Amino acid sequence: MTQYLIIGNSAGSIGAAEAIRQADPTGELCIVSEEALPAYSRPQIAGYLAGEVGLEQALFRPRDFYAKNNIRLLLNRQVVELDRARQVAVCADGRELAYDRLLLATGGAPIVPPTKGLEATGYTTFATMDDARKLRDMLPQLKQVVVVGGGLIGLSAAEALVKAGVRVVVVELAPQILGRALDGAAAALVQGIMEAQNVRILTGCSVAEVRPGESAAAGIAILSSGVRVEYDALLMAIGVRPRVELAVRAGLKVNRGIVVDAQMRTDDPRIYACGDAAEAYDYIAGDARLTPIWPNAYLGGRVAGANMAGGAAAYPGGTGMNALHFFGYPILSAGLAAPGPDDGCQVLAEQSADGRAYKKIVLRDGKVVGFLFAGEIDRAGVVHGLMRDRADVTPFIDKLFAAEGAFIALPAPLRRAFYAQRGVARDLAIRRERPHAHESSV
Amino acid sequence: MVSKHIQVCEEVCIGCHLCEVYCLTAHSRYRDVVKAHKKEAQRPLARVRVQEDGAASVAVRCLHCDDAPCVAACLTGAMVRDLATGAVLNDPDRCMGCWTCVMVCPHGAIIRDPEHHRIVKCDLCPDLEAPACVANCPNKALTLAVTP
Repeated sequence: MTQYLIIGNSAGSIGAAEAIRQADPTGELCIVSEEALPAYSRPQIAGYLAGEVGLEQALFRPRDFYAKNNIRLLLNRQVVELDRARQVAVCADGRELAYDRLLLATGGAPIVPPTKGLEATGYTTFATMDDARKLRDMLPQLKQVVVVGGGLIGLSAAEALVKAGVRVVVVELAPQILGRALDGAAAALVQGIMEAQNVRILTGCSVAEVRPGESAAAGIAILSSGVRVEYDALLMAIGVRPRVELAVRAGLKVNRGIVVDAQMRTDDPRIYACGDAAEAYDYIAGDARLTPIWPNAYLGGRVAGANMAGGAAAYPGGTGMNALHFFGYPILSAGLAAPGPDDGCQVLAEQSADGRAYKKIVLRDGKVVGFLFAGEIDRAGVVHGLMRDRADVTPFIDKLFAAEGAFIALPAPLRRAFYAQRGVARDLAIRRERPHAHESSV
Repeated sequence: MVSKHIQVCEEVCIGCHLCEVYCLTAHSRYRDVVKAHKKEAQRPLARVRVQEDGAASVAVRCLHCDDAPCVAACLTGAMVRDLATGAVLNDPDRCMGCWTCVMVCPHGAIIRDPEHHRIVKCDLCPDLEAPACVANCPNKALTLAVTP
């Protein structure tokens, strides 16, 4: 009987556990997590902070998921060492967990840049439900919060705090917010929406120093621009770095993230890795890299799990994609949504007359390599499908760009192929064999 | 696992939009076509949408793909496959309206309900004998295939 051990308990871990159980209902399966909760949807912590989502609602799987799948769940337990020769993971309390197959789904940790006065003055991060709970408990004392980082995490926290009645100042080093997901035009749209909700956004500057606050405020941030901002809490949301320490100490191959092959296996055939900690294949970039997003973690976990249980699954490749929404305004972007002048791309872009809707499709060699839809997002799925399929869109891209209904804008043979792929092959030849077919209309 | 699939034949779809009308009705409180459209304070959204391009038209709705990208990509665990019927279903309580499924559905079949911060999609009308869109399609552009 195979002994499976998964370190980490989020998207990749659950994907792996589900795939293992599909292939092997009886092997011993243990998930170990540093956190106190069963797997929850990390993107829901902002909703929890805003009071819109309860804890039960935020769980990624029903409470009985582990029991039903015969999974031993060890919470509040940190693995500090891997002993590959003996095939055991050593916990902080000295206990050892044995494995035949091990998955490193260790995720990421918030980046906290060294800042003068920071350690003495204190700060919070926004990566876990525990972080969200602490912030929520602090809400009655919070009048103003400085959020360092204008990316997805920082802005989600900013929105939640504003909804909870807190004033927010966002400090972003780059000249625009959401630089990883959006181009300048879309970022400006989001900035306008945030500012209309009284979020103050300061781009092109950083926190140079923090000092203990005067009067009631917890601290004062002194920005590189010289501006001083008082705060009751300082939230560090610059980004996450992959948690690769275990892999590094165990001598596994690590670049920026843990190196894996298409089977999500590390250079130790018994050890797999996935999610934010691993470098997985990016089909747009054409190489392996960190794409720390939830769906890719889950999918990588599924592939790892299937292979850990003796299967032969391959990771199809993922790419960066972002589903964003700020105060009800939706934005979807994926791939090379903001290509540089050297990327050799052709860009179709259009902003609506009122400026509220913005769409953009990025092409290279006749294929979609990126897109961005803001305000009106309903055609993004079809465009994403064409990107995934690496379809040559040259003959119809103009029509697709303009169309209201995205699917009907595809050429008829592509539509038929689409149905055929999904077992919905309803061509007329098949209809003729059916007793109720309308011969007259054929 | 009995699996029900709605089959689409766009060659005989005449773009009458009756599938939308009856889908909306089937997902309304009163289940009455007039009341559903005229009386309900919050008119439900149809889970099927007819797209037209000149003479061509097609009813776009969830195909309950075997390899459903929306289930794999769902950030909250709201989108699940019902193992009893094979249907891909969304739990409105767990859906947070992040629109990730909208982005990964290559058919463009996920309908946004921004007012309630969630999506709606075809549920194959579990308590009807046949899905409302199929039962009311005048030209059998939508039919039901049941695989035992």
